[in-house]
Amino acid sequence: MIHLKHIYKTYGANRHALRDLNIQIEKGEFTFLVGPSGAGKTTLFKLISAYEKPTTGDIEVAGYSLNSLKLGQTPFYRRKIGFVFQDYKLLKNKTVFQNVVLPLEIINNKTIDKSKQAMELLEQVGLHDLQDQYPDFLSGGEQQRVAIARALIHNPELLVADEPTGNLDPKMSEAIMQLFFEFSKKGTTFFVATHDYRLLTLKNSRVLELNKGELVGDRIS
Amino acid sequence: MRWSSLKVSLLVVLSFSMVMVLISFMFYKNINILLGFWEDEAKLSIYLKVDTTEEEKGAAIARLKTDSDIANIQVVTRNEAAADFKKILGEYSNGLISVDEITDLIPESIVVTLQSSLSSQTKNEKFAYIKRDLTLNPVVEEISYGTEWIKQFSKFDRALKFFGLLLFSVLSISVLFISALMARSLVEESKTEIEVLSLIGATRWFIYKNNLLPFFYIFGLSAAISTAITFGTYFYFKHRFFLAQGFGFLAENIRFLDAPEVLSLVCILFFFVICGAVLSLKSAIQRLSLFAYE
Repeated sequence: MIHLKHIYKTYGANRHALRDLNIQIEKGEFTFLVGPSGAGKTTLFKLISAYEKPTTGDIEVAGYSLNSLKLGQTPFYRRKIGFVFQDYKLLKNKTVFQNVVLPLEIINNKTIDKSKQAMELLEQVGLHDLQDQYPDFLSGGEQQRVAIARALIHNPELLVADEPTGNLDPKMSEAIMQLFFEFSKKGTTFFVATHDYRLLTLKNSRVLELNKGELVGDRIS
Repeated sequence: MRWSSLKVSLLVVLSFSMVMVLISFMFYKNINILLGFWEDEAKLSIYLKVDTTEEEKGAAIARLKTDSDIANIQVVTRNEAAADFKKILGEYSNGLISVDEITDLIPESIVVTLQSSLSSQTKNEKFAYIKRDLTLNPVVEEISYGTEWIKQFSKFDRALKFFGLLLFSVLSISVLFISALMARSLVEESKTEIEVLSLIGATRWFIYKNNLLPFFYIFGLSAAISTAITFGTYFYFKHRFFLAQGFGFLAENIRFLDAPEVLSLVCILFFFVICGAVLSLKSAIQRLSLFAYE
């Protein structure tokens, strides 16, 4: 699903965010990415989301070679991925329901019952009562759950999440991880950056550790 | 569509902008209509000598008829002229008209009116030409057409038309500039939305559609509001203000804009607003480097 070969990312003349990164994540794998602040986690996610290009090296994600992504392919590539951003990136002028259903509106697949799918996910993240609220009236944890529901609604092949449980209490974190595992069983690949070391004890998950832009650990929990 | 303060501001600015453009154009149009009435009143009177025969008069009329710029030739007999004279003087005329000598002094005349399509300056030049041409004719006693009045009117006419056009142009340019600027502000406000949409797989077309749709709604609403306000203003002046001020002539003759005029003006404004919005969207997408791989 994700193949990174000798990836370097340098900002300016000599600030190396990533150095010779070689990672291979297979389809359906559940991978955590850990490391201190400034380790390069966000930079790696930017490369995977086709937001930035690597300075050198090859990236292949979901069958797309990002080095040679053709004009106009970026949106279609991004539709295969679900993103949970650290700052949620919810649209403030849309309700919870409208935010969650947005990826389906973009894909515009007429065979999908958008409303039903959105309501099911809102139920699973415990926000069905808040479907008509605007994000500004939600707590940080509630906004985070909206972002998670939005990332999962179109059944992406890959879910990339930056601190998806950072603002959730332990009970809700557990519920969200349970939801992730359910999707993982259906074949979705998860790549999750976290500081929550309790999550790393989950069985059969892979943990990659970054430090100063280099891969310093790769283990199965 | 959720209304933000900027969207409400855009609606207000666009509505008042269109009102200003529509009213200034209506002003310009009505100036032209009303000045046309004044110009139509410009006439040349050829006073004939008392002893002019029918043949001599006929020859003079025939000569005038050869000129294509002349719209109408009317012969005012001595009796008709006397009746007009009596009408103008009212009760004072009775004593004068009864004196035969005075009645004999009222000459027969030929009144010439030119084509209304001619400008007042051209009319003035044409009258001067006819006067030169007929002055030496033995049947003509005097020719009068109020030279100075027409000259003054011609200046006033040009000044007023120029003022109307200037007002319309300045207002239009200001309004187009402000509207395009407002459209850009609204796009700037949507910057985060554009970023999010592109990150979750929206194509450029989807982003354009999503961001331009509110402009269509707001613009449609503004067009309806401004046309209603403009019509209300026209209605008030035509049926209340001018009548109350005793300007019956103005009340009777001012006209509202016709559908093609309103549509043309609204379309021009729409073109500029949408162009402003599209250019802003384009630069916002490029600035955010959201399609770095394209």
